[in-house]
Amino acid sequence: MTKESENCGIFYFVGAGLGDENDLTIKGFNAIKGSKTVFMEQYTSVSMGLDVKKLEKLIKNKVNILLRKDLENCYERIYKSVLEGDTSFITAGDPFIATTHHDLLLWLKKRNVTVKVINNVSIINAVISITGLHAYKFGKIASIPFPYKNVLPFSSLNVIEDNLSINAHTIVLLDIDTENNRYMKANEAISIILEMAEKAEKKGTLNDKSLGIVVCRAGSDKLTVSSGMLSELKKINFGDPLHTIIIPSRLLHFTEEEAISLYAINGK
Amino acid sequence: MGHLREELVKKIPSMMRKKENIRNIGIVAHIHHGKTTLSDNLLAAAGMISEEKAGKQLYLNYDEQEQERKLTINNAAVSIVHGYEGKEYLINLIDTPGHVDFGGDVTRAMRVVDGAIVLVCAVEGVMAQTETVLRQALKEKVKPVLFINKVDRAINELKLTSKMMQERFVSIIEEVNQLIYKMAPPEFRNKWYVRVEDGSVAFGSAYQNWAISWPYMKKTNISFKDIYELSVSGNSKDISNKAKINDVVFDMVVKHLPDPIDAQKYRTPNIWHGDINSKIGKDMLTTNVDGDTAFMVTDITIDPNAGEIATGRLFSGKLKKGLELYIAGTKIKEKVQQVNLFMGPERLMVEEVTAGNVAAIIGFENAIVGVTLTTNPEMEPFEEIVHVSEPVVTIAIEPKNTQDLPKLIDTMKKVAKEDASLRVEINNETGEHLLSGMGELHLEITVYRIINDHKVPIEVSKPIVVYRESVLKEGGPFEGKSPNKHNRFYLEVSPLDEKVVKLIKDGEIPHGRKFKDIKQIINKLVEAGMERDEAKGIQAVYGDNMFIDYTKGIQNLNETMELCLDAFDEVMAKGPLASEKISKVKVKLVDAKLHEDSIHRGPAQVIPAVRNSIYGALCQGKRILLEPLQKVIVNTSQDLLSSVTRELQKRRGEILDLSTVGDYTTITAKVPVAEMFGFSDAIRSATAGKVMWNTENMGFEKVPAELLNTKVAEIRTRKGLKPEPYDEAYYSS
Ligand SMILES: Nc1nc2c(ncn2[C@@H]2O[C@H](COP(=O)(O)OP(=O)(O)OP(=O)(O)O)[C@@H](O)[C@H]2O)c(=O)[nH]1
Ligand SMILES: [Mg+2]
Repeated sequence: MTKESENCGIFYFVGAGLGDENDLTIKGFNAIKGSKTVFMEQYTSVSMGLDVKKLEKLIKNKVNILLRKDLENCYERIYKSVLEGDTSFITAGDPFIATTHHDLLLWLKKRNVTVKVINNVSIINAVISITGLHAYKFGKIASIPFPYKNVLPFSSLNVIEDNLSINAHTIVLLDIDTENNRYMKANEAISIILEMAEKAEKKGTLNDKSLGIVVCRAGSDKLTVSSGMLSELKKINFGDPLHTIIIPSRLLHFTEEEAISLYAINGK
Repeated sequence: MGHLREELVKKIPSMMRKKENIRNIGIVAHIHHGKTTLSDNLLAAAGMISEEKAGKQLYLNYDEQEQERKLTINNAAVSIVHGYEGKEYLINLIDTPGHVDFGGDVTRAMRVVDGAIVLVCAVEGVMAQTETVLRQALKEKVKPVLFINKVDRAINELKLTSKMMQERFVSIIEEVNQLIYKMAPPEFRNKWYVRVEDGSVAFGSAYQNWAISWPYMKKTNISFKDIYELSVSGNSKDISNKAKINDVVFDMVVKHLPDPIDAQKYRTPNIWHGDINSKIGKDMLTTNVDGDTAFMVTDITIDPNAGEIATGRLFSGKLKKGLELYIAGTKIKEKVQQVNLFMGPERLMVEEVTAGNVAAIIGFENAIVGVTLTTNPEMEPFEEIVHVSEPVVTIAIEPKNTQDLPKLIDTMKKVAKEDASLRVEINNETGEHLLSGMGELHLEITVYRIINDHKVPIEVSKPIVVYRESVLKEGGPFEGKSPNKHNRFYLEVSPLDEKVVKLIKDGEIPHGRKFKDIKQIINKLVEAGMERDEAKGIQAVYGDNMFIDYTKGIQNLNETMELCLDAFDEVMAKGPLASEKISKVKVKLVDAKLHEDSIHRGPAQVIPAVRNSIYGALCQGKRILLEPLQKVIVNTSQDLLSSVTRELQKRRGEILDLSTVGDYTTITAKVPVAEMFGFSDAIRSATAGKVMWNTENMGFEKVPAELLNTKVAEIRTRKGLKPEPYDEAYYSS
């Protein structure tokens, strides 16, 4: 072992949760505070309420923002800082749910770095608990990307249809374009879903009368939940990001029905 | 200019309607074989210009730069009336340039005409450019006749006897016929030979203003010997009275070249791929004057007063002031403000022009070269006019005074619109304004026009050569990873088979993606020797490169294909060595591992992954740089031979051929365009201006290995890149 690696610290993946700096777990906060170097992936800061300046004050340390597109070029830089002491890397939600940092984890492990993961709440379990739908009944997750040159993401529709066919709910995540500071809005996504449903070669059961639930700003004080027919939801401007959609199964448990009706946009 | 001309001009409108009595023709030849001299003398003999103006002053080279440089730069069109066997004929004639830099004009002229006078100099014989222009004509199904020019020089300078002369003629005619046989559309291969006996060959001297043909000799009882003796005696008045150039040449044209009705029957399907049984299809097949209007624009000039002048061929219907025309394939429509006929430098306003004629319309601001103007909004446009050579030389331009910048940009756009062979690149970010042309001369003339005609003082960089990049052998499969590392693409590259390249060059396989007639394309590829499984995977053609999807059953790949192809386009436009265009490469996707979720395989992930994979595969296949070459043909006397050879060898020139006729030696050499800059001045001073030379484009060839690194570094530095290109490892992270 080289001399450098004698000081080799621990690398923490710290989930930031969905809200502001108060949503860090105590364990996570302590890891950050105790770290010599702190990194944060750029898009977390925009997509949730975590205030970098406030956090820097609390931990009395600098938070280094890594641009998402440059992350791959930062491996060496991250490695260098671990060699000098404990290092934290703050990610949105839970470190490995909707994001893709596994490559970094493997890369570090190959270099014998001790890696610890500090979990937090992710959008996946947040929307489930917010809506009151049964966690046991969710199927594969779908997502709607910003359309690229009129290519529709039919694979996402297929996920929803497959889930419907086995009476499972679908979480539909919406695209974030950090570079251009764009967030897909729920109504945009619903329009894309319905357009696909209409154009699909193999007709499924989803249509504009189908039920949908829109969860906005999960984890913040400005949380809203709305349920209704897709044709109605399509017309609504849901305001600030982030938005998430759930397409519930047609077979609902009575407690699920009760929960959904709480958020019905037309009062039913 | 007299009375006669005005009378003729008056006749033209009524003659335009007699389609059987129209001939649309072009004069094509190797450089300086005498096209313009012949055209001028034909005009003079027909009374359209005065005799003094013709020949010496070159009325049809009316542009200042044409006069100055003694060569034709732009096509010039004129209409002439000729009497033959008791009937009057309207001959719409286009004089084309011979210099390779202006070869695009010849290509475009061949779309307009139905017949061509191929001119060959009796002294030089059939030259490479003769073959090129003949090929361009035959490709457009334009029927040729032959005029052997400069017979006076063969007699007086080469001192050929009458018998040797005839042998020479026979060999030129044979050579031309071999070319016709080789390049004519199959249905005309055996019909379009030129023959002395039937009068589809004529001989003469444009300079001395005379011509003869076999039928003319019989009709007038003049023998070749008479002519021979007259030419030796130098009595030009006598000879031009005896052997009237316009009678001989135009009789040949009228008798052997088709009228528009005849020509449009077989030319329409060749240049228009819409439904031939539709109304517009039938209108064009029958040259229907009362049908829908179909006009193809082949030339644009911008007149300071009149604005855009769009010249072209009217295949059906009429052109009339006030008529509303669409640009086929778009929603743009505009009104015709004026209809004109061209008389060399002058325009003649006419009431209307009818199907089967060459004409110009004024005021169609949105027209560009190659568009179809029509009254039928549904009409499929004419086939693109594809000129085989591409711009190989570039210069950067800057205004001397910064406040002239907007004017310069405007001017550059204008000159590019007027000259379809020119490419203009305006980069507002770098402030670099690039002008690319067919050769040094082409750019020199353009720069001259910007400064003198458009009055924008500019600073010009040294000419830069346009390079291409390619690959030596197979490379890959190379793993390209997306930034999030959740997608992997595996692509292979290899040199694209020459036969397939040819299919693309000939337009048999279209550019772009989402091919309409995919079955036919696959069959063509298989015929060219491609494995069927591979051919079936064709996804895109960019430049002369092809993308093939060779994978099977990869889930969700269809959703990412557009992204893969965008990456392909990107790489083909900017090669890994020097950011030059890639040429003749086959890119094959052989495997892909995709993330389940569509957002995780979006553009920001897939494009870089595929890009890196192609770049990496190119590294593995060994990247090569291609440079443009020119064939340089120099005619010199024996005593200057060694100076010429030295000048060529200094420029990495490779001597291909040396041939001697009489006192003249012709040296043919292959020289990189990059080394040819300044050749004109150098050869002039080395030989006291005593040699004649010209060039041909020879396409691209590999830069010698020992020069590769320096060349690459040079180009990269010029472009503001670090001198060494990235290596394989860089693309694999
Ligand atoms: N002796 C002789 N000279 C000729 C004859 N025809 C043309 N020339 C000369 O050849 C030179 C070129 O003639 P042009 O008519 O400009 O040739 P061109 O084919 O139009 O040239 P480009 O348009 O530049 O290709 C001029 O110097 C003419 O005077 C001819 O029949 N006999
Ligand atoms: Mg000329």
